[in-house]
Amino acid sequence: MKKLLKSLNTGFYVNVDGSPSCLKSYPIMKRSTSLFYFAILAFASLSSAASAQDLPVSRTAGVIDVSLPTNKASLVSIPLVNIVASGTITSVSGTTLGVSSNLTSSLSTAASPHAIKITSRDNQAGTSGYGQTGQISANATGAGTSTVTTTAALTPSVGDEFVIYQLETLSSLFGAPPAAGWNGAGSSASADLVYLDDAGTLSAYFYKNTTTFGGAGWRLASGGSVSQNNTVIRPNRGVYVQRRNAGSAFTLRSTGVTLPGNETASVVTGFSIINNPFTVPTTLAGSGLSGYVSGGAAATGADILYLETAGVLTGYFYKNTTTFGGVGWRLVSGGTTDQGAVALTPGKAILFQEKTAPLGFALPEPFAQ
Amino acid sequence: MKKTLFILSLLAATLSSVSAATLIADITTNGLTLADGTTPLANGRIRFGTFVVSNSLISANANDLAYLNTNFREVVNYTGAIGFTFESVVYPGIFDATGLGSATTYAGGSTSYGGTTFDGSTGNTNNVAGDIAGGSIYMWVLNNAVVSNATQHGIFVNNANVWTDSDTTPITDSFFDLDPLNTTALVGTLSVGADLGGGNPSHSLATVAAIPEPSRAILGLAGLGALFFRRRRNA
Repeated sequence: MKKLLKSLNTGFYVNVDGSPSCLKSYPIMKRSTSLFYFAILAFASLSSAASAQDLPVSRTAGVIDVSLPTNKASLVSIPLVNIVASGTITSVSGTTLGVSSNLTSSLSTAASPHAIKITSRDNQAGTSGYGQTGQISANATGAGTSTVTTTAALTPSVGDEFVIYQLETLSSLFGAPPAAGWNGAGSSASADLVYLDDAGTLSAYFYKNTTTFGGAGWRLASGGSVSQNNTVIRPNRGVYVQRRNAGSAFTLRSTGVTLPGNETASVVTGFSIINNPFTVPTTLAGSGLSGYVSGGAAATGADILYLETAGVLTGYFYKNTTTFGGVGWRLVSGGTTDQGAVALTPGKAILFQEKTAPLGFALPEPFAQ
Repeated sequence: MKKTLFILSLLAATLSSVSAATLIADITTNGLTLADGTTPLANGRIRFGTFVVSNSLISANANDLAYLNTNFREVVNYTGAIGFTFESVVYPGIFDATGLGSATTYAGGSTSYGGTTFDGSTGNTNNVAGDIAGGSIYMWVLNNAVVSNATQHGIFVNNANVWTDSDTTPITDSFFDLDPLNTTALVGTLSVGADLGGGNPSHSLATVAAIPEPSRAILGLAGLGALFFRRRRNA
């Protein structure tokens, strides 16, 4: 792993936790291509809503800029988030979890949605919710009385660790209006498109820049005049961007800290845009993803992972038969060459096509396991 | 023999793949008016597809609805009221994808439309000649549900929007609008009508001029001939 990090690190190492009690320091990289990193400081950004029960864990803070070229498709992940609280689970009751943090405000407003992620399985005797994330639909505040309710039940045990972080919306991620370069328009046929997945299908959104029929704002491409500015990029999800041959260079900036723990995502038959939460590259073979996809002798019967490079989507499947080169990752387009060394690039989401019975989806931390 | 037939039927089923897609059309920025430039096209028929003749032939035969109909390959169509609802107010003459409803869903793949295959390269995204996928999207608008009964119509082609190949991952939907910067009016006129609420001048239809029927033309010529003959006799 160290060798991999060393080979990829063209920048410098930053100890992101200035305090002596820092447990880890991660490399922050600088890349000069469409995706580049440059590091910044600071554990201080974590302190906004943290409580006395915060865990003594350092996290990587930084900025990731992802270039979205015109007339290209881009799969974009959101690896850096704003963590507002962390601690341990104090109770589990259906969709409601007691948390050790002292929550002080609503975490489920339309403009500022949040999610809770289970980041450890300290209680080995209990059920495991490690890596699970749920959007918060309601919460109670106060020291010793704080709880969060999620839209779907998570299964941690008392004593497991969690973080609560802010989810992105279309307007918070892209801007409303988006910065210069983005191609808004009066209709979806002329505008840049952002796709979000929902129940296996992809829905398109565009930025309407005209003043009629409700004014400017994010809209569903499928019609209507209802503002979609507060449409949430759900937990575990990235976005698929299709830019038109118009506008100019546009860079999507992700700031904050990395989320700890595995990324476990629920998937259904169809397409899911899985967020890659890690700022360290890994490979198909090294990712451990083969344990969470349905393989096959050929691509026709297997789940497909699409990775995007320079606007081109390439499909891969896990070949689980021993013939013709044996078990391993293969190109959907054919061939017997093993594709295990193909990189999962930070800042790039994974388009996952579930074809058979969903197994769930998990992306282990590349540097921890 | 049975086994061979079974394999052949499976092969045929595979080759004739059909994938559903949606045409997302939106003309809320301009809208459509009748030839007078002021009356919104509140009812009619909207046809999306492609023509198998050149744009110049379409324009040259603008008054020959039968000729145009023969050479049109309709993929989706909508017939009925044309309007966009915003805050409980209906704006006739304009619509978005919601207004067209389920009429915008179509089958891709090797589906044939009037003898023309939608995607002639199933299994890949190569753009082959003679199929619909990859070609421009034409919108043929008529002021009557029945083509032959229409008295006004317009044919618009958006040069920036194409029918999306059925093998495009992950999106197979097609998009269409009437942005004047990318649209050509083969029949009708761009941006000359009233603002229907979209903030821009509407596009107008053209009146279908009557084409003389052969029998009437012959009768007319005979009448002229008789008149000429009579005048010569009188002289």
